[in-house]
Formats: sequence, structure tokens, C-alpha cells
Amino acid sequence: MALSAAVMAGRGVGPAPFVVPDGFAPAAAPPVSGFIHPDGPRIQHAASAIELPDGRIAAFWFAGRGEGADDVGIYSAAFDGAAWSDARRIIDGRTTAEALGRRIRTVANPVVFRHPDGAFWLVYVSVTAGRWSGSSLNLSRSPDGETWEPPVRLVSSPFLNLSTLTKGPPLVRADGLVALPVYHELAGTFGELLFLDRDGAVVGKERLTTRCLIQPWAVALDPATAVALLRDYDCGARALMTITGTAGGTAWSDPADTGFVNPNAPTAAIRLDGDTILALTSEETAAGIRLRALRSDDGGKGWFGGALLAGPDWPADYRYPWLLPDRSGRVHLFVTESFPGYSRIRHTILDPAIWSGGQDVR
Amino acid sequence: MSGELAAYAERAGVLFFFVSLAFILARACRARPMIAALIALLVATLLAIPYNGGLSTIDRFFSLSGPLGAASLVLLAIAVLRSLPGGGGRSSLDPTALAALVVILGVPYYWLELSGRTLFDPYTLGFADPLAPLALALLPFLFWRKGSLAVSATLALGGALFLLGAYASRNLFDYLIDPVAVVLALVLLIDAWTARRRVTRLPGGEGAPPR
Repeated sequence: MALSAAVMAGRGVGPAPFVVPDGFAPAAAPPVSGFIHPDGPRIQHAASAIELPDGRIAAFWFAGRGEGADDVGIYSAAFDGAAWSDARRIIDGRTTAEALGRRIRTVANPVVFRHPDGAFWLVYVSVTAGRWSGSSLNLSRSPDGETWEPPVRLVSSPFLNLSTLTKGPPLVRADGLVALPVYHELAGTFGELLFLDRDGAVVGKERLTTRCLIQPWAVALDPATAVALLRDYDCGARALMTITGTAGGTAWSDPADTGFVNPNAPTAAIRLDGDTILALTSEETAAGIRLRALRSDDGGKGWFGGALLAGPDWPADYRYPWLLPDRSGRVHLFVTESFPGYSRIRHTILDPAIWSGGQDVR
Repeated sequence: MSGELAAYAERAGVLFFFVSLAFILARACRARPMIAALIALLVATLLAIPYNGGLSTIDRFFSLSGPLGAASLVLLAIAVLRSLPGGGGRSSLDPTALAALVVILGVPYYWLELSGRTLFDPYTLGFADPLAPLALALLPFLFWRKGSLAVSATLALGGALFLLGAYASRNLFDYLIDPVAVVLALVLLIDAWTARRRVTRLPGGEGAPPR
């Protein structure tokens, strides 16, 4: 009886409404496109970005000799509307190891977001041993998005706290909990949602998918509903899938096929207004991996393809997009642009027309 | 508990792991209890010294293992007590029930957690309301009355550590069980099984033909 009481009282996190960010009116803007840190380390990857209180855009990415190398650090730079500041190395394996008193071999996948209390939170992956399946999550906080506190470790898995990674921004709930999409790739590969309280402690967890769907990117549509897009981890279907969440992220639907192929690469999305979602996903073309604009006007049930970002302005492979609408309605894209032997983080202010029709950008 | 205190509490279990192992190995080499204790203290001191980058062996092991749950600590404590003179014969120190429970619950728990075969994630049940550890607090008495002191001690210790917030985790299960406990439990069960087989093969042992 005591055991059943314990089980019944379990889970900790109950339903709560999502906090829905305001929609925005996309604004056409002068074309801006370039590398954030052109002279930086050889491999630069997995950017995320946020708007600072003064209107500048801050980007975060990891860079080093190679993915998983021991010289990798997380870098940051700010865009003032005209140019990028010098990149700063804000966190790396050494500083994380010092703060945690643990051995840390490398860091990766920074995800930055603004907590409802106003602070900036940076969640990132660290690896003690092995490859990405040996990952754990860490959280560093900042009052201004520029100076960062020593990190704390997030406890998210019972098996040696291994194999939790993150890629997309969180959902925020009306009860103050942050619901961070994460994924697991040790024995199986699947998506999850971590619930973090105001102190940054993991107080709940929800499994989003079973095998082969990872790197969920979630968008809140209304207080009751969120939609997540998922990367197909090369298990056969190679399809871009969606799931629909309700009850503050404590209940999720079975995966549904968008009808678009996914070449084992993550997708980024933003809510325009109402039930309209704008997304960018990687697509395999004869020339390589390019980005395809996708749009849904019915809350993720149906999707149609917008423009393919290709041609001379898009000469490489593009993976790991991050989309950020700013307060003036401009949509910023941050994406890993991969050339043979090296990669850069490219920043582009997108023309919203790419989501209007099937006209490719060439 | 503050973050700094929690960091010490988490490492204390790992230190206990090495101290216990050193003591048990010393006893297995027929060292007297006092000598074994001194060897264990010496090992603990050496393993706590930082080297090459500022981390000690304890820190490096902890980097991989994380904190140990109550089941590991109780299994180690029992192994230490059983290695003392007369300890092996005390039925109150029999770890079989706890070891069997850890393996029977732990193996499917970790399989469900890691494989992703189903949407059911047992770990989520450990993010319990305050009511759950109170309910759990009744269980040690139940197991104690049933005669399993080890299970009772594990539940009591895990519940107490959880209520104190001794570790960084907010999940009750992280205070009760960890993968090291499953390995320890398997070792203890195999040891108990082989010991039983040795007894049955001895002339006049259990199962031997009557003389």
C-alpha cells in the first residue's frame, strides 16, 4: 500500500499551460549574410542565439580542432545590426572541470534562452569519456547574456547521468518550469523533455518518442498545445516527423510524418502567429545538403515546402539551423556551413518570402 | 543542502567505496582488522590527493560514476561487516535479499531507461511529491519486520538522503540505486552461489550422500 502510494504520488510535474511568445510580423530587411568568426577555430558548429536587452543579437556556438576534441570551447559574439563583435571563448572543458570538480574532455551544443525571471540560461553538453553517448548537461546563468556564472551539472539520467544532449530552445510553462527538449543516444536514440525549476534543477522528465527520433525542436502554439519537429536518426524512414504536446508537455502524440525527407539532420522552427509555424530543415540535393523552408498554417498538421536555399550564395552543406525573430520582425538564421575539412557559423537575415511559396533562392 | 555540501556528500560515497574495497581486500589477504583498517585509511588518503590537473582519483572515478545510492553503500557496508571475525555467520548481515532485489529491479529499470523501446520511463516515477518519501518511510519497518535488515537500511538511508537533499539530484531513485549497486549485487549473488556450491560438494556437505 505504501509502495502504491509512492507510485501514485510520483512524476512530480503535472499539467500547466504553456507560455506562448508573442507572434511577430515578419519584416523585410537589407540582406545581411556572413560568417560570425571567419578566422576562428577549424570546426565551428551548433549555434544558438538570443536577443539581448539592448537589441543586439548574441550567438553561441562551439569550436575547436574537431567535434569532441579536447580544445573545444563555447564561443560568443554579439551583432549590433551592422557587424559582429570579436568572438569570446566563454566556457570550455577546463573551466567546466574546475567548476564541477570532475574530469571533462570536451563541450558542445550550447543552447541559450531567457528564463521567465529575466536571467539568461546557457545549457550545454559536456563529455567525460567516450563520444556523444557519454554526454551530460550543464547549466550556466548570466544576468546580462555576457558574463556567465560557473556551471552546475543537470542530473537527468539514472545511468551514471550519461547521454543527455540538447539542441533546441525550451518551452516555458505558466508555473515557471522550463521544459527543455533533449535527446538520448546511448543504447537507444529518443527524444525527451526535461522540466527545470527556477533553481535549474531537473524536477521532471517526459519521454517524447521511442527509437530513432532525436533533437526535438518545440514551438508553443497556444497555452494548451506545442508542436515539436524531430530529426530522423537514420533508422530507415528518413522522414521529418512531428509530435504534438499538451498538458504543459506532460502528454505527447505519436509521431506524424510531415511528408518531407530528413537526411539525419536537425530542424529549427518559430511560431509566426496563430497556428502558423515557419521552419528550416536540411534537405539532400544533388549539390549537397541545403536548407528548405517549410510552413504549416494549421499547427503542424500539414506542411508545404517553401524555397530551397541554394545556388552560389549557398555553396556548402548546411546543418544545425537556429532561427531567431528579433523585436523588429527580422528573422535571423544561424547555421553550420561545412566545407571539406572545416566549418563556419553563418549568420543570415532571411527574406520572409522564402516561406511564401516554392520559389527556390538561387 | 547547499551545492558545496552536496558535492562533498556525493564524493563521500565514492570514498567509502574505495575504503570498503581496500578493507575487504586486505581482510581477504588475512590482514587483521586493525591492519586492514589502516591500509584502507592509507588508500583513502592516497586516492584523495589531487594530481596532474588538480583532480584526485576519487574525483576522476566520481566523474564517471556520479554519487552512489543507498543500495551500494549498504551492500558495501555489509561486505565490510561480514569480513570481520564472526561477521560471515550473522544472519542479520545476509545481503542476499537486497542483492536479489537490486538485480531484479535494477536490470529492467536500466533497460527501460536506456533502450527507448517504450514510452514508459520508470525514472520519471522518482520525481516524487514530498508524499512519496513519507510513504517510502513506512517500507523500512515492513522489511525490518520481515527480517531483511539490509533492504530496510537501504530504504531508510536513501529516504533520509533524499529528504536532506544530500545530492544534486531531485529524483528519489538516484538516492536508492545506481549501476554500481547492480554490479555489486551481481558479484555478491555469484559469490553466495559459488560458496553454496562449494559447501554442497564437500564430503558431508548439504546434498552429499549419507555416510
